[in-house]
This record gives sequence, structure tokens and C-alpha cells, in this order.
Amino acid sequence: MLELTGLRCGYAGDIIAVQDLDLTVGEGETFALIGPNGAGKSSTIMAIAGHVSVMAGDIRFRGDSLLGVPVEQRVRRGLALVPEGRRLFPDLTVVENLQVGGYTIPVGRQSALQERVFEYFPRLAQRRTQSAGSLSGGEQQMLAIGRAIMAEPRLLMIDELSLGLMPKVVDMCYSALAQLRTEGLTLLLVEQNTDRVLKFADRVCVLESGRVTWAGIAQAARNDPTFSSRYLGIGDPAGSEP
Amino acid sequence: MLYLELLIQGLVQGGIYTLIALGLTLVYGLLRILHVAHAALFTLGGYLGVILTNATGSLALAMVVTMLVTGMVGMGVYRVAYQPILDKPPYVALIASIALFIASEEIYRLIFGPYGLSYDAPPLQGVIDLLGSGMYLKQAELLVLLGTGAALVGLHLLSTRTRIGIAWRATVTDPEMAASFGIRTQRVRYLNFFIGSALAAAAGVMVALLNNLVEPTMGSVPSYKALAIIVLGGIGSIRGTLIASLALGVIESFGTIYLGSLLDRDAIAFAFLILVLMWRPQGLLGRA
Ligand SMILES: Nc1ncnc2c1ncn2[C@@H]1O[C@H](COP(=O)(O)OP(=O)(O)OP(=O)(O)O)[C@@H](O)[C@H]1O
Ligand SMILES: [Mg+2]
Repeated sequence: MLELTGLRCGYAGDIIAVQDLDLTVGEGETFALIGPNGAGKSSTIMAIAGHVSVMAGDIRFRGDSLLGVPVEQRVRRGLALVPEGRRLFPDLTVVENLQVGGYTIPVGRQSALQERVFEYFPRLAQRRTQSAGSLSGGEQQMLAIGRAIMAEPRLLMIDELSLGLMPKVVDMCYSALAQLRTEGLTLLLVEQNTDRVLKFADRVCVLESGRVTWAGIAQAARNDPTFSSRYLGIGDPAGSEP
Repeated sequence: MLYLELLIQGLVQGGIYTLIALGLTLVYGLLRILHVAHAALFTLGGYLGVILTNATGSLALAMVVTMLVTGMVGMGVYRVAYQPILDKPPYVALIASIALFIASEEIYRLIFGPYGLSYDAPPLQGVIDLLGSGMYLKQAELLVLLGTGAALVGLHLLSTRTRIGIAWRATVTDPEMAASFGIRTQRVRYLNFFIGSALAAAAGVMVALLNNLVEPTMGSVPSYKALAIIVLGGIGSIRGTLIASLALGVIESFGTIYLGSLLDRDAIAFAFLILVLMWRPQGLLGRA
């Protein structure tokens, strides 16, 4: 589904955020990208989405290279993004944000998708005409996920789903993802909440300072009591709640 | 009665300012460019309106064609003057815009001659008795009021009820995310220039009706004032632009009667601007 080979990406002024990154996400798989602050997780996701420039290597998605593919075409190929900080359109209403999410979907199919989003997140249904900027943090994250679902993606990338949210809201988001996963959606998750994502993901890759320090099956990371302290710089291996 | 008449005169002038300044606000909102050359499209609209009305005898036809053609010229301005330098700092685009505006006056002088043009048979010069109240309004002035209202209602419907309008607002707030969901932001920019330029062209045709004169320099004072208006309105805010335009029109209208012996119309406008900005540097509706 998604294949990064020798990826190097970064920012203007020779800032390299990620180097020599190889990773493959299979169809229907849930893949977690974790690592300390500044490791390059967001940069990787934004490079796949087309917002961070690729300096070397390749990004292949469903068989074709994404290099040189304009950002607005990537969603048409099946890629959707819940970015760090959510980046909703604050002045647009809930429904309008969802309409932007489904911009590439024929109008006839949009209302059914919208109803699905409201099934996952009933609180959004009550706030249809409220502006996104006036929602609570949890509702905003639900809307960000809903907006991405509206694009009917094959691969959904989510950056920091649980950051700053109450556990109940995080549960709600993860149960929506679990449901979508059973329908074949592939997920690429960046998470601070390591415990949570190690339970949810199939495979994991740990980044540090732009390089991979560990990659493997999530179960293996979960069963290794020294995993957190060795790879995430967290002193107490048991507790990684933020 | 005098007050009411001054108020209506002010609103007519404010309507013209609104139509011109909306385009500037739209461009600023989307690209963060101060589109000084916008006033050149206002002038072009005036010329095309007069020439086409004289040629066809139909003001309505002239208005439609003028708005379409000027809208397309506006898209051309974006393509040629702004798109290649979007990744440069904003003052680069500002310099390009000023250069284009200065050049446009000379181009109009060369093409249309230095002395200006008039309608052969000026349309809409009849006078309407407002509700039989003994208050009189020129038909052309009524057209300005109705045209401004129609433009605002049209923009509102476009931006809230249509797919492209919602895409447009999304692009204004976050072009990267808009593109991520498949919005072709380049098209949004073209649309933006088309609409802004067509509205300025309509203002040009209307000013030509009010003064029965178009000349190469007719855009210069409106260009300064429209810049002042968008600063006054809180840059990028459509509602602010409307309020600032109407306020400026009304202040000018009353000012010329009560302060006319001290200051001329434009001096009153800029004195008002300076005073308001001393009180609210972020503009009337701008966020502090
Ligand atoms: N817009 C930018 N311009 C320049 N450098 C940047 C930019 N964004 C990120 N970087 C740099 O790239 C590196 C990787 O940052 P990135 O945001 O990808 O890390 P991250 O793993 O997502 O961290 P966090 O957990 O804090 O979100 C960092 O060294 C950061 O300083
Ligand atoms: Mg990050």
C-alpha cells in the first residue's frame, strides 16, 4: 500500500528532518510511528501528504510514486490526513468542514458519508451549524477525523490523535478507527500515547533524530518491558502516560 | 431632509467604494498581496462600459460584457504579475503591483487618448422621486445602491451555499489543508481575481454613469482610498470592508457640506482614516 525507500525529507535551509527511512505499510495494516519530540514523525507524514519536500528516496503509494504528484491529486489516489494540531477550518461550520473533506466525492454520496461520521461521533451531529473554531478540543479532533473519513481514503494518516484529549474521547476515536479498520482501511498513526498505540497497531517503527532505531511487530514491543526506556527515553518503563 | 439626502449620497459613494474595495479584500485574504493594480481594472471597466454602450446602445449588454472581459483581464494579471512571484516576500508583489498600476495609466492614455471619453447619450440620468417624498435620486445612483446590494448578496450566497464558495473560504484559511482535500487552490485564486475584477469593472461603469466621464487617471484616487478602506475595515474582512466603505462615503458626504471650506473631499477622507486608525490601529473589525 505504502512504501518509503531511502526517504530523506526536510525544510528550507538544509534542515534535514528524516534520513534513510525505509518502511512499508501493507494493505489493511495499522502502522504506528513513534519516537521522542523532534524525531521527524510529523515531517514523514507531511512528506507523504506532499507538504514537506522530499530530498532523496521515493514514496510509493498503491504501486505508483507520489513524487511530483500535486498535493490535491493525492487525496484522489486515496490518501487522507489528520494533521498535527488538527488544522480544521475554524470559520467554517461542522458540516462545511465535512464538505471540504468530501470535496472529491460525488455530491450524491456525500450525505451517506456524513451520516456515518455522525454515527461515529453523535456529538458532531448536534453541532452541525456551529463553527469548528468554537468546538471543544475533543470535538475538534472528532471533526478532524470525520473530515478525513469524508474523503473515503484507502490510507488514513493521523498525527497525535490523543494529544490533549480526555481518555473517554480518545476511546471514542479509537473505536471509530477500529470499525474503519475492519472495513479494510489502512492506518498510519503517529502517537505520543505509546501504550495505547502499541495495543492498537500491528507494526511499529521508532524514529529518533530522523533515523529508525527500532522496527518490528507491535506485540514484540509491548512484551518487552525495557522497550520504552531504551527507545523512547522514558525512565519508567511501565508508565508512559503523558 | 438635507441629512437624509446627504446620507443617501454618502451611501452611493460608499457603494462604489465597496465594489472597488471588495476585490482588494478578497485578494488580500487569499494571497496576502496588496493589489494596488486593482484600480487599473476599475478604470478599464469604465472605458469598456462607455465604449461598448456607445457601440451597442445597450448599457445592460455593455455592463455584462465589461464585467466578463475585465474579470478575465484580472485573471491574466494574476497569472502574469503575481503567480510567478508568490513564493517571494510580499513587498515584491507590492512593487510589481504598483509598477503595473502606473504602467496601466500610460497604456490607457496611449490606447484611448489623453482627454477621456463620455457616453454619446448618457443612460440612466432620469430622476426618481423617492416614495413621493420630494427626495430625488438619479437612476444611476439607484443602480449603484442596487448593484452593491446585489454584489454583497451574491457573494454571500456563493460563499455559503456553493461547493466552490466553501472551497474558497477553506482556501483562505488554510491553503495547504484545502489542497490536501483535493481543492485546486490555483482555480480558487483565478475565481477570486475574476470576481474581484468584475466588481471593480462594474464600479467603473457606474462611476462613468455618475460623472459621464472616464479618463486614464480615474483610478488613482480610488486606489488610495480602497487601500485605506481595507486597512480601516481590518484587513481581509469582508464585513469590515463594507462598513468602512459606507462610513467613508457618508463621512465624505457630510464633510463636504460642513467642512468643505477647510478641506476638500479627499482630505476629509484621509483625515477620517488617520483619526480612526489612531483609535483602532487594527481597523474597525480587525483582531487586536
Ligand atoms: N517548518 C519547519 N521548518 C524547519 N524545521 C522544521 C520544521 N518543522 C519541523 N522542523 C524540524 O524537523 C525536525 C523533525 O520535526 P517533526 O515535527 O517532524 O518531529 P516530530 O517527531 O513530529 O516531533 P513532535 O513529537 O514534537 O511532534 C525537528 O528537528 C524540527 O525542528
Ligand atoms: Mg509532530
